[in-house]
Parts: sequence; structure tokens; C-alpha cells
Amino acid sequence: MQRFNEYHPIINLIFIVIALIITMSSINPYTAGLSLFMALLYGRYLYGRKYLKIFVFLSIPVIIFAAVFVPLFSHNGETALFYINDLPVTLETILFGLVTGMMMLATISWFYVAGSMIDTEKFLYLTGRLLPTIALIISMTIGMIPKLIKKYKEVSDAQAGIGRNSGDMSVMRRIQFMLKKLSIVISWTLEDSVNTTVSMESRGYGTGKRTNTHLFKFIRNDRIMLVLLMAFGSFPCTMAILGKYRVNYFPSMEFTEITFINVVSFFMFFLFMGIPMASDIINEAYENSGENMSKAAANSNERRDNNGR
Amino acid sequence: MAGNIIEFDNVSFTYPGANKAAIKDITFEIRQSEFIVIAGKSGCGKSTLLSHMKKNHIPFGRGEGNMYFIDNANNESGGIPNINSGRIPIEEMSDRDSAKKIGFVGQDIDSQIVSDKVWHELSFGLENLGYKNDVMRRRTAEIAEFMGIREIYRKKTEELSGGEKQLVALASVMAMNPKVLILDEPVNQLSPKAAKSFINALVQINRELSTTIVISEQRLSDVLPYADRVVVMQDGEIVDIKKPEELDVVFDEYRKKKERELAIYNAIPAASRIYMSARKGQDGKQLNEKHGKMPVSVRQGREWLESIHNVEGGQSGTGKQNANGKQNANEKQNANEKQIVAENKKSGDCVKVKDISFSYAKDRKVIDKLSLNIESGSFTAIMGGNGSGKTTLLKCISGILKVRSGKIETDGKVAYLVQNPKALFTELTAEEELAEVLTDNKKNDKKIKSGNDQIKKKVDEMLALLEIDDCRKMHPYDLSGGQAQRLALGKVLLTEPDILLLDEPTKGLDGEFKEKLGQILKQLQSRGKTIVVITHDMEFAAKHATHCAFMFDGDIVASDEKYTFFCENMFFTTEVSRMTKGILERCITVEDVQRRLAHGNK
Repeated sequence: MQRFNEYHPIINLIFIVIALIITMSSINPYTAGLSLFMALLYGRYLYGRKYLKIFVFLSIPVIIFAAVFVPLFSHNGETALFYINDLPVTLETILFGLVTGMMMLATISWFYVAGSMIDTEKFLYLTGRLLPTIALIISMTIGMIPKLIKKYKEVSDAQAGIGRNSGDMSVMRRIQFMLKKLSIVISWTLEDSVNTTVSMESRGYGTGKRTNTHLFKFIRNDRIMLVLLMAFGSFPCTMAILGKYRVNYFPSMEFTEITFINVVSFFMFFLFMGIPMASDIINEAYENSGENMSKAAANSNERRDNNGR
Repeated sequence: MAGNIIEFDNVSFTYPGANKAAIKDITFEIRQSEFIVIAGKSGCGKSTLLSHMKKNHIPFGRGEGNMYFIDNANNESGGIPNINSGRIPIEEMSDRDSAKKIGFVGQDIDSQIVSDKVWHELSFGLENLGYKNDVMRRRTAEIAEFMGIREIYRKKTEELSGGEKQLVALASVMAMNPKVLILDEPVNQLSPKAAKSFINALVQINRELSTTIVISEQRLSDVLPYADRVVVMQDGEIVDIKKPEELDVVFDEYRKKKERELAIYNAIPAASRIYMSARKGQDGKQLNEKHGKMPVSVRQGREWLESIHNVEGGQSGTGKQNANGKQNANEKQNANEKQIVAENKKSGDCVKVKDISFSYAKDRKVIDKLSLNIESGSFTAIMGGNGSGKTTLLKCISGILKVRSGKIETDGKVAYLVQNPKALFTELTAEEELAEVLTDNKKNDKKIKSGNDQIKKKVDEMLALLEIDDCRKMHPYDLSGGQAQRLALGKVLLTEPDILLLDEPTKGLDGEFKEKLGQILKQLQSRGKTIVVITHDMEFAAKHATHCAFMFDGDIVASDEKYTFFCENMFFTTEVSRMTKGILERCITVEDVQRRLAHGNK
């Protein structure tokens, strides 16, 4: 077994895409709730308690937006709860707002979790397969940022070396000084980029169609995982795309019927979203047992050594 | 005998706007699998010559003559090799062919690297040629293994040291398996240690893959022992092409013809210089019997020195007396030096560093309980490997970094010059650059107005002192390495410091510029300024400094007057010292040995 983020990027991508399609296809309290719950659960597992803290901070504005602003400005729906300035605040809009908020939070949470599955390298691989040039630009940009910071530091040191410290300057002077340093960094970088271009050309850049290297392998585990994801994900995904989860809020609420098929598909969606976490937990358990075994082996070795003496 | 791979036929080139040709009537050929070194001072046309060997590097301007690339792969299957088949003018090669068959590595380390990961950088060229992923992985793995950079394969390129970066740049070119490797001063920006391992990688490539190598280099002592032939250039022309041990003939002939020394004299190994000065003015044939071949390495130099030393001793029969005489002369000279030092000593120490420690991150100390006193009016060279904390020490002394514990006392105004002069340049011309220092704190225009006589006078003086008068109107970025370094020094000097801290001012300078810089610094010293220099160049330190310090692992482990310093060090010392140890005492520079030998001959 392996951790979910150790799978091939395509696998990670398929998972996240299906999860998002189902979550975002409809403003359905069941899918949104399930999705949010699973995203939080996995996020808590991956990042620990601080993840929940971040979530609470994130959710406050979303909930305010969804449950307060939407009903204030939208007045559709039959069931008026109370009136503000002769305008009705309806139950339907409040529910609509809440579910929308839940869906948005679920989406954000999944994106946050996706960050642990798809790192820069995987991201570059995924873009590189479709658009090698864009991937190169991204890669160069990533490489550029630390270079710029390094140059800025060196320029600051150089200026400090001839007695110019921003510490003993007025605010205006300090801004001027910073702009001057930035302008040095920029002209220096531009000068360097000429060299970079020549170096790229020397190695045949632009002579034909580019390919993209990567260090990823699609192995048996990936195939198994693909089958698993498809087995649980394809049915609810199809349902979502066909619009079976649609909920009407206006003028009156029409919920998804609780049919056998719907229940099965929700359950499958639930299991589908549990796959990454299950994979991680199983892997961890396996590793722990391995560790214990090796520890035990080490202990017995020690004992033998002691006996030997 | 292997055939040629590159041929130049009467190639001349003039840059637009220049009235003199950068290279003139270059005709020569490079054989397959050769290791060619192109030697010449900066500005002699080395780079221009090299850039004519690869299509996309050929600069804009007026060119004449033809360059050919001979590709034998084309007629390998053709049965009888035809000399003319596969002989393509370099300008007409396809971009793809050019990329594949001719590799190029330049001197600018950072800007050559494109990708953010090492493995990605290695496959950059292969990606451009559209190879499949499994082929690329195989090639990059092969080259990483071959070059011994397996440990850094998955690292970020930004985290690498300069030497590692340059090795990655080389490996990335090698992954395409070129026939010819062209290197334009590739180790110019590296520390001597990193430069050596880079050269070793090159030698390995040449010996084991028989890739043809054409390299231009300023520090000839590193590459000369490996070269098959050396192309000596001066003023855009090829003076001669000879084997390294036959270079003395080139020097002799040039001296006879033009009555001056070749400009690369300062760049050749110390052993070779001593050898040549010893046999100067004597008849060639007789000398060859006595002196043998020209030494190009420390070992050869030592063997040669031992042989002539013995011969002299035997011939004169008064060897001992002679030796005594030599010693006397040397002691006299030492006494002189000591006197100078003693005179300076009167003024006391102007930098007192007591038990300082510094760290950037919590767990790793960069400077560890370091103490150092610098005499006022002295010229101290701090040496040591990369990461030993030299730069951090200077930054602490200059006050850019604040130390956590310990005390630093400085007596006088301190100025610090960073390694890369580019970090200091803001203006459009060299003179405005200098004026900027004087006007920066006032509101007035930075342009030099006729009314601003005082500033103009100061700028003129500085330009004259640094001998960059003729490039006063040039853009700072267009200056050569040595000129840029001196302009930056000028900016620092205009702040009128008493203590001057310079971070590797000799980096990337050729022998002549280095000598000039040394003279300028000595002149400043004689005006009472205290100079502290970080340098990797021991010969520079031995020749110009008064004191030397060796920094290792965050501490100064040795600090002394230079003769004591170099003579007491066993390994961390100049080539001359290693060559003469036990044969001639207290010799650390070529001049010392020359003086000694001259005295001995009388």
C-alpha cells in the first residue's frame, strides 16, 4: 500500500475532479453536506487540528454571505418568515444560501486537501502533458522567485556597504531607496535573462515540438486505485452530470426523492471520498507494524549481543 | 590520426560600431577528441572566437571567412571515408543539429540554469528535441551517474552551490551527447576547489567519452596539464598553437619579435614563469640541456628546481656559501618588510573583533567565537573555503549583520564592497555612477553639470586613480569584469572610508587586471587606508597583502604576517611555496624565487 499522495498524478487528478464535479454539479444539501464532512475529516487527518481552525476562520465570511446577504437581497420563495422594510425574508432563500455556502466550503476544503496530493512537481507534470511550454514557463517562474529575493538581498547589502541603511531614513526617502534597489534588481534580472535565452537556444529550444520529462511511473497500485475510484465514483458522477441531484428551491422546495437508487449513489459517493483517507490509514498501520517488527528484531539482536558478552 | 572536427578558414569579425576587428585572420583546425585550451587576456577575442563555433552564438557584425564543422557520423556507413563529406559550414547547420552536436557552457552560473529542479534541468535539451520520457530518464540517469551528481538529482537548482550549478549546466549539455564541447571561461566565477572538480569532470569527459573540448580559461594552471594544445591569442590574432610544455618557445619568440612579454604571462603556472625567467637571456640549446622541458605543474616544477639547484651547487663548489648568501639576501628583504609592518604597527589596531558568534538559522553557527585584530594601515587577505563564514565576517564587521554575542570595535569609517558589482550599479554611464555617490543625499540632479565643479573633479580623480578614464561614458553593464570591479571600488572609495572591506574583488579577473587591482589597493594602503580582502587567490594575497588569515568552520584558525603564514602552512599555501619548500626557504611568490635564483647565479 502507499499513501494517496504517492499515487500517480493522474490518479490524484481523477479523484479531485470527480469529487468536485459531484460537489459542484448541484446545490444539494446531501451531496454538499457529505462532501464537506469528508473533506473536513480528511483535512483533519492530514493537517491536524490547525486545519479545523483555518476552516472556522474561512467559514465565517462564507456563512455570513450565504445565510445573511442572500436572503436580504433575494426575495423569491413562498414561505415568508418575517418582513424587513416590507420585503419578505423567506425560508427558501435562507436554506438556499446555507446549502450554497456549504457547497462552497466543501469545494474550498477539497482544494486545500488537494494541495497535499498534488505538489508543484505533479502540477507541472499535469500541465506539461497538455501544454509543455506553459509548464516550462511555470517552472521558470518558480525558479525565478528565490533568485529575485537573493538579488534583492545582495543589492541591499551592497547599498548598506556604502553607508545607506533604510533604518535611518525618512519614510519618503525609504520608499525612494526601495524603488532604487528594485530598479537595480530588475535591470540585473533583464541582463541575466539575455544569457538564459542564449543558453536555452544552445540546447535546442524552439527547434521543434517540446516534450516534458517527469519521474512518475504508472504501476500496478495505480491501476488498482484507478479501478477502485472508477467503481465507486463513476455511478454518482454520472448521476450528477445527468442532473439527478438537482434541487429546486423556488418557488417552493423540491428535494431529491429518497429512492433506492439515490441512496445507493450517495453511499457510493461517501465511500468514494473515503478512499484517500483509507489508503493513508492502511499504509500507516502497515508501516507501524513493519517498524515494530524491525524494532523487535533490533531488540533481539541487542539481547543476543549482551548475551554474547 | 583522427580527422578534424572544426576548421576555421581566414575568419575575421568586427563588432558593429567598432573600428578594430575583434578577431583577425583566424585559421586553424581542431582535431577530433582534442583538449584545446584558448589562452589570452580578457578582451583578446577569446570569447568571440569561441562564439563562432556555434551557430546561435555568432554575434551580429561584419564577418569574413568560413567556419566548418566536420561530421564523420554521416560517412561512417558510407564505406570509404570521404574527406569532404560531412563538412558543413557552421552557419548553415540546422538549429537541431547545432544543439545536438555542439554543446556550449558559459561563465555566468545562475542565468544558464532554466529549470527549478536538477533532473528537469538535465533533461531540458532532450525535451527541446522532443525525446520520449523513458529515453530522457535513461539519459539523465546515465549522465548524473557519470558526472557524479547523483546526490543532487532531486534537489532544487536554487539550493546548489556555484560549483554544483556549473556541473549541472555541463551535465545538461552532455546529456545530448555532443561531439564538441565549447566552454567560455566556465570556472571563472568558481572557487579554486570547485574549479578543480569542474576541470576534472571535463578531463573525464574528454578521456572517457572522447568528446572534443575547446575551453578558454584565465587560470591556466588548472587546465594546462591536461591540454593537448594551447592556442595563444593576443589582440584578436592567434600568436601560436603549441603543446603546453612547448609554450616557452612561443613566449621567447614573441619577446624577440615584439620586445615585450605576452599578455598571458601572468596566467601561466608559477612553475612555468619561474622556469622562463631563469632561462631568460640565455642561449636556447645550452639551456635545454640544463633545464629540460618547461614545467607546468607543481610536481614538475619541484623536480626541475631540484635538478638546477643540484647542478648549481655542484658547479660552483661554493654551494654552501652561496646558500648563505641567498639567505642573507632574503633576510634583508624580510627585514625590510618587517620594518614596514612595524611602522604601521605604531598606529595600533583599527578593527578589534572579540569572541563573536553569528548564525542565520538556529541550529547552525556560521561564525563561532571568533577573535581577530586588524592593524591599522595593513592589507589583510582572508582566505578559506566556501561556506567557512568569510563573507558573514565582513558583513558583521561592516555592521550589516548584527552579532549576537561578542564585541566588534572599529576605529574609522567602514565601507564594504559586495562580490557582484552589478548589485551596486544604478546609472547609465560610469561617470554618473560615481557622481551618484556624491549627490545621492542631496536633492540636485545626478547629471554632472558644469557648475558642479567639485563633484566633477572628484569623479575625474577617481576615474584616473582606477585607470578607467577611457570608459567613462560606457554603460556599467558593458564594462569588462575588471573594469566593473574597479568602478564599484570607485563608488565605495568615494564614501571616503578608512577601512575598506572587499568581498572577492579578484573573482573572474585575469592576471593583468588582478595585478592592476593589487597596485591600486597598495596605493590606497600607502595613503593610510586599512584594507581587508576576501580572496581565493593565494598568489594575489602573497604578492600584495601584508597579513593573511585562514578561516575555517566559522573561525580564524591562522592569522599572521604573510611570510610566516604561507611558510608555516603545509597545504593551504601558494603554488610557489609548495614547489620550493625544503629547497628554497621563505619563497612564496614568483618574484621571491626569481630574486633568489638571480642572486644564486651571481
